[in-house]
Amino acid sequence: MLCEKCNKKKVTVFYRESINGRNRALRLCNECTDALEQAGELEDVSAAVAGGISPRFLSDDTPLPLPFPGTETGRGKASACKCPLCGTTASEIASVGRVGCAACYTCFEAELTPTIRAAHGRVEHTGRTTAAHRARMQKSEQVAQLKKKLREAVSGENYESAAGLRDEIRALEAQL
Amino acid sequence: MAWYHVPGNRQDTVISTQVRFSRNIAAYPFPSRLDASRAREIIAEIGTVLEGNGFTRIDFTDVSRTAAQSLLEKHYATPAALRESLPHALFLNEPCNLSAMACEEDHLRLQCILAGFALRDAYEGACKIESLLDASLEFAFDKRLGYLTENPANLGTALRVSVLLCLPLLTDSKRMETVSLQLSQGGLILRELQGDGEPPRGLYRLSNRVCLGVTEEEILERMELAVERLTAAESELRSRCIGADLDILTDRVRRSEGILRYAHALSARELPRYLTDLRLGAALGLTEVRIEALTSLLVEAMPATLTLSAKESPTRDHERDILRAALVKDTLFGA
Repeated sequence: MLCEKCNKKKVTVFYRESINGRNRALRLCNECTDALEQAGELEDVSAAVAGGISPRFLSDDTPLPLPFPGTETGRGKASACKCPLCGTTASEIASVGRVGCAACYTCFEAELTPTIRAAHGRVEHTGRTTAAHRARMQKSEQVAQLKKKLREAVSGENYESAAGLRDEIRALEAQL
Repeated sequence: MAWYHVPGNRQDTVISTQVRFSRNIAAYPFPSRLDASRAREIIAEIGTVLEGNGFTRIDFTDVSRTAAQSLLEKHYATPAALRESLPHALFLNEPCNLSAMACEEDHLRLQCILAGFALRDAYEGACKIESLLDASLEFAFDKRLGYLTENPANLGTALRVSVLLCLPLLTDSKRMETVSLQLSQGGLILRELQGDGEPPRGLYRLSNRVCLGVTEEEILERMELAVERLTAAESELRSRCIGADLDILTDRVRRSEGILRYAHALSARELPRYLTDLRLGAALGLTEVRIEALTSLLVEAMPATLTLSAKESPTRDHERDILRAALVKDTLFGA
């Protein structure tokens, strides 16, 4: 029996999956299996973790690395750029599907956004935030309020008050 | 006592519920860019918070391969933990239902796991450990992308909820596709579990695929709705099972029970199939076996866990298979 994908090599892998009720079965050779796995099109093929038990049974639904589209075309411009903090390049990220550090998300925003949108449908976080972020938001809010008061004080020619407010604002902004 | 010993809700269709948060410490690069000494620093920082709060630390570099495998079988670690060469550690609480994996994928993988259907309780548990760490460590967070993770598939809430389901009649009825219709629109994914070469036995893992652009509450609600729909469909088929269909089912359950009662050796590969049949049987009153015992066996009969608990360490599959059969008899049919 020949591989369904390349039609050249012998079948060595009988791949079966059922995702959201849809069944899929493929008969593949080793090379095509590897290629499809790399492209993120197959679920975890390595079933034999412990006595042939599916790794997903053992609570592994760690998502597979996302495929990064257009890395071939983007290669000329993007891959020269390195993350200032960890030194990862865009093509390294694309080949393993893993980002090097938090700063990579800023450095490679253009390359990562289409993949993120494809995976989640959106690129705006809603939900829980860190305590540190909430504290920063609170301070920003305070600064905004104080600035409003400052404008009122200045337009009311209340310059002493305005000076005090300006100092408060500076102190808070230094913390942000 | 651990999570798999404690009875849970709706165990006739839901085996376990897991809620996981991925988190990274802002000051360090992600694990793929860490060296051993920085990984140890991270583990130490996490330890400072957790060890003083009732968590025990287990370093993967210090434990045997069998012990590490056992942690995987108990659902505290993922297969990645066994392959990881960087120093990594597990922090586990005393009831063994809250855990933190350090430096596996991402700096922190916080998890609450409970038997049965316990979405809200598991979420609360995971939030407890998350808040504890949030108070002392600064997590990598971005206003736009949320919690930053090594794999962009985990960005945003970085929350992954997953439920292990037992739906044998729904599987046999071939109605799974209809019932699963809206799952992908809701950002959920239902995967059937099978060993290689095994026929489908009705075990599934339902999890959320989308983490960014949805709130934690939305993820929980969608999961709840999906679990309701799937388990209701299964329950309905079970209640309508009468006459000849019930005879066939009774025979299936009794044959599986017979094997578990009398087999001299049981392999790890065949056991889940019998346990699924018995779970169905227990729900239909076709067997006296307790469902809680079935859940505990799903962990305790696994190869590494079994090896560790044996008086004389078995080294061959065949020896383990005999121990497994004895454990099953003892757990399900009593002494």
